[in-house]
Amino acid sequence: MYEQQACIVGVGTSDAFGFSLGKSPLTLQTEALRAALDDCGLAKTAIDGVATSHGAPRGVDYEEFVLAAGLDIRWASQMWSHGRWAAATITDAALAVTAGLADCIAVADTTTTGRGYGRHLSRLGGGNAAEGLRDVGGGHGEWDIHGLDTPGAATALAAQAYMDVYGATPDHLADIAIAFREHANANPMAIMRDKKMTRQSYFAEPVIAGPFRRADYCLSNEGSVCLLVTTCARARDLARAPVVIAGMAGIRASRDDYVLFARPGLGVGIQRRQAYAVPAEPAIYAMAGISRAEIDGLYVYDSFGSNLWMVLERFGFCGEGEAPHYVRETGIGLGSAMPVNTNGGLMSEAHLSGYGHLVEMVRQLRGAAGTRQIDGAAAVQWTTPRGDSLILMRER
Amino acid sequence: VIEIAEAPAGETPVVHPENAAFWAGLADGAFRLQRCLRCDTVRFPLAPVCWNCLSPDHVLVDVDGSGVVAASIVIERVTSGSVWAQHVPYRTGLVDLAAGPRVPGRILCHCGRAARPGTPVRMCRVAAAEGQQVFAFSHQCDEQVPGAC
Repeated sequence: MYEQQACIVGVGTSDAFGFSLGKSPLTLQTEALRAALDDCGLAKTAIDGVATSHGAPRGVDYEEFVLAAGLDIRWASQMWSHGRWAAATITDAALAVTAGLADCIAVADTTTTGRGYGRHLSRLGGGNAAEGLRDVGGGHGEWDIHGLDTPGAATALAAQAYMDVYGATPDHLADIAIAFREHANANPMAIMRDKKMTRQSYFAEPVIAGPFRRADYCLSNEGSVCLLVTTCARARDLARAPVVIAGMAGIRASRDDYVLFARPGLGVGIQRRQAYAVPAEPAIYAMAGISRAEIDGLYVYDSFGSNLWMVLERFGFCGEGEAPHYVRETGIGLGSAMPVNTNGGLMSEAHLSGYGHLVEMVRQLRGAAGTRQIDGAAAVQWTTPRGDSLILMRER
Repeated sequence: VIEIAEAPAGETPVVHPENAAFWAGLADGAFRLQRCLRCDTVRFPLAPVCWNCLSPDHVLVDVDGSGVVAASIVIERVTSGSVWAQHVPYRTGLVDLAAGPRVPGRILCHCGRAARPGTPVRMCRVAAAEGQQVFAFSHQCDEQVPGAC
């Protein structure tokens, strides 16, 4: 039934994720490409499209990638150097293969750090650190001239506003960081695989901004991911069963809905503070032909722990202000009713701009997630606090 | 006139021809926002057109700087290489002006009450690099609490 739908047929990553890998972004991205091709048995000559959100702070431009890897493509898309574009980039690739603009698209994205390989490439520029100096402030709610000079500071303010309004506590933030760390401890690729976190060790960390400790922040690291997107029909003769891109939802934006890590109604940035009507069943579930109750695992853009609260309320997993209670009562760990970020997420696996979560989702749907496997995973959802989302499913 | 308060100099705004009148107004001690000549919407942040009706026609109007804290936090550590690393800890946040807009700003408060939403604060001016000033807020503290900011 999915013949004309887009799917992910191969996934690959750089050989490792780490704080400083000693390899250029281009080297990391070619490692990921080779791994994705090997994963499904495709030759690189099958690739006729490339999509990237460019990575951060400086990743790989699409044509730099094409030249180095010897690709010959007829379709390219390069979005914005931010983590928020993972769903949009996959959606772009899905629409392109279903429209016949390309047969097989390599979606590739690479993160670097200034203290890692970025120190060798500073003359190339890149990055987006100055957005908070725009007249409208930054897209994360940051305003450099007022001392909110990082996404973390801005999100700490959003989290504080949430805690002020709904009575959530630092203990509720700890629930999230500890659960994601436990997942990373079961993930051999995770940067924090050997670092245990207890409630005691969480609270022993110094506060950085507002309610946030170090453990509430994503990692800042290097690594690369490549996912191969094609149609289910094209995937039939390949080594891997296709993972269907069954539901897609775009980034929302308005004056009341632009701060990346706050859902509407919180009154962060210039958005109005008002009651938030939790949607009964966002349209993405109908697009995927399932109900929200059929989601087996949730994957969240966890640049900061409080993002999970925003996503749970944005997609109606719980009511307004109920997310911290939901996390505690329903659980988000392996074996709970709704495992979240089984890879460890940006906070404990690696910051791969969301593409690392997508690799994990594919592995879960293949039943290949090892000790992190969600029993019978058939439908999993990617989300960000901005309302964009993907639902990936096994073929029925 | 908006008073000048003592605080360490922070990041300086990007001043360009289309926003220069706002920053010149602040240097004169006034917080002047754009009011649309077509629909009367007073807008923040600065923008070349009215978000409500898209008209570019506007005048700058003085806006009163009194308001209440909407949300605020203390920045304890700055990991970027920015000027703010020299100033931690400091309090910053968002203030709901009585005149309507919610605006960001540092909040000068040594008693810690500005942590609470709803706390009255008043706009002030503080130094930025390169001789610029930015708007900020101050809480009228009546007692000193050691360690609070």
